[in-house]
Amino acid sequence: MSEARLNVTSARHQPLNCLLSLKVGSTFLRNLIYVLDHNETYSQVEKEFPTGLRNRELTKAELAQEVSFYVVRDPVMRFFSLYFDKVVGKPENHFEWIIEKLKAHRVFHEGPDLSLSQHRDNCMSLLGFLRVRVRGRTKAPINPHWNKQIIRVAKAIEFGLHPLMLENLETQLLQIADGRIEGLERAAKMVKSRNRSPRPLPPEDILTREMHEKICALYPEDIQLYDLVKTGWEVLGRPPEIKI
Amino acid sequence: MAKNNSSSRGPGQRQLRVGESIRRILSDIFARGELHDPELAHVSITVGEVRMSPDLSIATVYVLPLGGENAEEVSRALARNKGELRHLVTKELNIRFSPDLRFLPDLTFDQMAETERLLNLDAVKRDLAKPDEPE
Repeated sequence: MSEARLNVTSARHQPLNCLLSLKVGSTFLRNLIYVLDHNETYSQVEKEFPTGLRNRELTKAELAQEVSFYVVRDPVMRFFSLYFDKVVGKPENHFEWIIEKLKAHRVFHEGPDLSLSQHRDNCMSLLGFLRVRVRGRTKAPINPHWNKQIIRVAKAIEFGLHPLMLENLETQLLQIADGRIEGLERAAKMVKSRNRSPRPLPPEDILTREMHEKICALYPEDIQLYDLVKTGWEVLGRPPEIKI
Repeated sequence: MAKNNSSSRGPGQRQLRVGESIRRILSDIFARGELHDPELAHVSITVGEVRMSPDLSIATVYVLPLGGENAEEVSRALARNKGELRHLVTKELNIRFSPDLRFLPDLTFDQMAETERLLNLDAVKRDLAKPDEPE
């Protein structure tokens, strides 16, 4: 029987591998790998993320020899990223079909200057929409933009990849690379800013206790995973070993 | 995350403060892998909540392995190691007493399983399907 392998996105000339998850820094990482591969940024518009990056299927032992990682994000912040990116914000990024469904079946406010309470209404509507979908209540496959992080990274955990946190991604990546990735720091600087959608209001202001509870109920394993990774980094000062 | 509180009267500020301190200390101990019980070697454990008795003599610790499986077994394994854990907690905790540690599975996932069961009832499914039909 052949040895199990994990499909990862890799740099072409450097020992760097990652498992990308949507709404968890994947555009930043794609751009970073593109810079490492080509020594130039993908385009002037970083929002257009590069495709055609190298994918490899590696064994656990091969992954352990190189800089191999996955990224986790606070599920609350990931929810707001979805809201600001796909529901409000730049129209070119919208998932129009979600907006249509929210308008048809739930409360949804549109416009450039929404109030705090209107954003809260929209977020509660989006959570209602996600509740049906994250729990697989529709025939459609669960969209990776809102599927649980744990489902995406379970294999990465099994294969022993290092867990990094989105909020400290560059620092933590430089630490685990430990000088093995030539030009990594420079590449990170070249990918100047994260792919961040405009935020008319800080998520912390929009978030209510009820909203927080709903996000926790929707993503309990992701809350656990994030807590383990965050505590691990804080306590150990290095990537913790996550076991599942 | 955990909500294991069934008492009608809420805990006092000191209970909450000590409980949160113990939760943090235990999380750190688990992160450092300071326990050497083989049954705990292959599991990542989160501490959802620590509830203190009014006299602070008993700490009920709600724990859950990542993903929620085998919570009972993990609680029992932690109970086997409670002497060592109590020693480590007391060392870190700047208080005069040494609370007894009692480990229980975090009920959040059980409640979620119950929610899942309810969601699977045909009547509930029909109701849930109404607002958002499959695209």
